[in-house]
Amino acid sequence: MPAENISYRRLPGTGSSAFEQVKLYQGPDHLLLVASSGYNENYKRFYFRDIQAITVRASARGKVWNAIWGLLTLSAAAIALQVGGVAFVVWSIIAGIFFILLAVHFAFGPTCICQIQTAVQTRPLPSLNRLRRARKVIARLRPIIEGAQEPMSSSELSQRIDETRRGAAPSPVVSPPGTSPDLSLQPPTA
Amino acid sequence: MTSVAVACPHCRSSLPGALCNTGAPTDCPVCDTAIQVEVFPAFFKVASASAAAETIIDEGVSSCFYHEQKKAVVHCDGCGRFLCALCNLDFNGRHLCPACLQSGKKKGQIQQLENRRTLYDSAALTTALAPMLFFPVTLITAPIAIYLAIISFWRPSSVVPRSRIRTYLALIIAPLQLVGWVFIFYNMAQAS
Repeated sequence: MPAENISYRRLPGTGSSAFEQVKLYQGPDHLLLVASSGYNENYKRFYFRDIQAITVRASARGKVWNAIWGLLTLSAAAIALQVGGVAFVVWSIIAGIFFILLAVHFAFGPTCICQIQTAVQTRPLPSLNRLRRARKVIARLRPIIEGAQEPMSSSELSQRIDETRRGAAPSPVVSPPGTSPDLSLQPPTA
Repeated sequence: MTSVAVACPHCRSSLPGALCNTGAPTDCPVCDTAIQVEVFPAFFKVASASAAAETIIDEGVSSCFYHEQKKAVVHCDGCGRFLCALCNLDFNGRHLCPACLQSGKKKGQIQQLENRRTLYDSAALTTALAPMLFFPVTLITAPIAIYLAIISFWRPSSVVPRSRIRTYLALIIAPLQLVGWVFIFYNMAQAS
């Protein structure tokens, strides 16, 4: 059995935590979430045919960081105005650095928390942590995901969502014959 | 069929269809948080039951390699063995037997089953660079960095595109450290 070679395309955005850097890649039939800790990479795959929903919600993290950088800029500028000579130059440079960080942070736009949902898991996508970027990536992925699943018009989708909301059982979509059986867990049946 | 309604990712209240798939953020009617919910047809997909293996009744019907009493429905794309519906593992359009799937995972031939990889090139570069903060250690770490850099040529690297620059840098820096040590030892020998 020959080894496979799958080509991936990097999607915009990088998420990071204390020990990991997270990036998202687009494969031929799946999304690949790569969490790199320097010497190791951990992979999570989300097949387009299995993706049930992608949700985005605005978060306050961006505002908090803007406030922090703004406060640091003002503090450094205030100190610079009270001292003279070399100290003035040093504190001005520090204030300038904080201002650049504030400007960059502000330019990236509001922050968000993006999650992807399949039948068996709901996972955050840390690389899509900016609202603008998340919208851009979702707009790019939407036709690909829809193309990998049973065709359904937006009005029919909306109708089914309302049916589930009302608690009514929507008419089922059954896998066409010949396709692989989906052995994944499903939400509780009505 | 699903009975779980589409929920707001913040307050978990159920959302009407009009607020989903809008392509732009909208405010949740309950918590007022800006949300964007994209729902796909898989949300309503019903899991079809897996096929059951049929028992052989007639003579001359091919049987499964693993279950002699069961009717073969397909052959394994890896080893060619006949498989019943139970043993047939449909993997991205390929029909594999459990043994081929297991060996493919073990040997790294099925990339989709790999959840973790070690990046030997990154390890080699770090082993070459980090000890330079405390130079005497490089006498030990430089050969280790060279070893890691060499084995990185044979071991699989990241599944995503990645250049070999780290390996080459490690193969330049670590030997230079060893040359430095040879020079130091040579000078010490000359002085004594």
